[in-house]
Amino acid sequence: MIEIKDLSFRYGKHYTVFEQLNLNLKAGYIYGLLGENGVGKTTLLRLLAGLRFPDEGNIHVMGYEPRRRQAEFLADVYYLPEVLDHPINISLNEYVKLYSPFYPRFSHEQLAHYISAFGINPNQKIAKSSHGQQKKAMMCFALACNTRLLLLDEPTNGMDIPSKGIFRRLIASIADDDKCILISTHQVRDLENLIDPIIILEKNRILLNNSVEEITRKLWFGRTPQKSDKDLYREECVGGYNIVGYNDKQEESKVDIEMLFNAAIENKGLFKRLFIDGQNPESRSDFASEMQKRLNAESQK
Amino acid sequence: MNKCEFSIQRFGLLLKTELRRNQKGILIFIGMILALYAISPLGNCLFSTGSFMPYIGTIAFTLPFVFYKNLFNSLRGVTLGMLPASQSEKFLVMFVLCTLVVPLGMLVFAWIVSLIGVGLTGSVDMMFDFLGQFKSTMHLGFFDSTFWSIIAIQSISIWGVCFFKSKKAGKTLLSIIGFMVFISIVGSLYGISHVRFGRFPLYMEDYNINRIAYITDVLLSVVLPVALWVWGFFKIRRQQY
Repeated sequence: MIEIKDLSFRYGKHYTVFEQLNLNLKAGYIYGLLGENGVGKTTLLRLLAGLRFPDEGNIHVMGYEPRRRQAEFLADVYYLPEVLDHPINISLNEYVKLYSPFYPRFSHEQLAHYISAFGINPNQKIAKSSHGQQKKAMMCFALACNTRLLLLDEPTNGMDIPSKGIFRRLIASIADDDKCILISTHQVRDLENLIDPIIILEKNRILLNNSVEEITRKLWFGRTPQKSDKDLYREECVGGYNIVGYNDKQEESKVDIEMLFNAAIENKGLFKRLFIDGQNPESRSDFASEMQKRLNAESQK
Repeated sequence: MNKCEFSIQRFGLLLKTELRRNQKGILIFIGMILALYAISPLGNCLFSTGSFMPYIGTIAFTLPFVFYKNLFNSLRGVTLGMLPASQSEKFLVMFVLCTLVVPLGMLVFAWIVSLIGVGLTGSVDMMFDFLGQFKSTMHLGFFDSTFWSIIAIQSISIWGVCFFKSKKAGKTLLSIIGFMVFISIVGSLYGISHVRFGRFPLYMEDYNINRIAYITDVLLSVVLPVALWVWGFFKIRRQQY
């Protein structure tokens, strides 16, 4: 569905966001896009939406070049930015009346369902609602558009705790084989059990773009009473350590996205080799030498 | 939805959406005109022929900056930017709204007000000459009518709105000043060089003067506005948010 080839993008002449980036995303998945501040998550979404143009390389989304911003392409993409277009000084009902005719698969029945699930008042002016309410109103509209590509930038920011659960349920309910949903977020706990595959973006490159199953085949997430040199990442907790380690015993475990993200950031080279270059996870010598390098660096500090 | 660069259905929808989105601005402009007349000490000029035109001209020049100040804004421009309509449709809606709908609406408004004036005073001389605004004032036919002059001047704002991402009005005004300074310098240098080298007679025949005036008039009144619209049309496709 999305094919990014040798993408380079810069802000001005000196600030490079992407350099020769390659990425393929398929329909039928809910991708989680993670990364530190400033690595280009929002820029990537904007490039996919056609709001920004690549400096070099190609982007193809559903066979279209987003930069052309063709009407039929835009009718199949919905981009919900993190910060909303204020002030939308009309009610959700009026907004729907104005903008829904542009989306050929817009469903008023679904919209009514989402409005009732979030418990928002569609007659209240959007600009006069709280930030969370605004986000929920626009989320209802975005989901009801039924576009094949849904780009959500920090969708749970500003939402209250029950709404985050509702959001997860609704996103899970709309996912089907034709749709690709790409969610950029820092609030990884809000999206646990929802996003799969997980993409971790790092400055100028991708550290991880794998399904949860592939991740757990190579890595083990769990709690141990003692720390070990083999831990890729660990956090002290009551009665031991939460760790991300190498899954050498091929045990099943549940991905903790926050731990995974921290492990990836601390072991960038290893993650790239394991998940992007597809290096054999059984090659222990590389893994051991990587660990040794990291330990040496830590001891030097 | 039609799968082509231009669809009448989408165009109509977009025009309706843009009118609704900008209705507050339109109402404010109408209110401003009414307020200006209401507080004008020269109340007797209220219904006189032509007194509306400077206001309509000013509004026409200003309104693209008001309606489209957020075009290409990375936050506020996203709704319009992502709206499923082609770039041609988006430009044409902007053009129709700013260049045709609002100025023509203002003329109709002026005509109605003058009609009320005629009704109140009984003087037919105070009737606003609606059709006269589309008639030639010199030698270029429709292209030197008052209405064309208004939209020709407005083409600069349309260009500025499409060309600049932020601070559109200020940058457009600076561009106009820059352009005028450039033309003055080039004109002066041209004149000086020809007088100096004796190729340019100090007095010119009427025929030549008229010819130069005509060409300049055509360039500034017809070619330049059309070029600015076309430039805006292509520029809108290359702007990023």
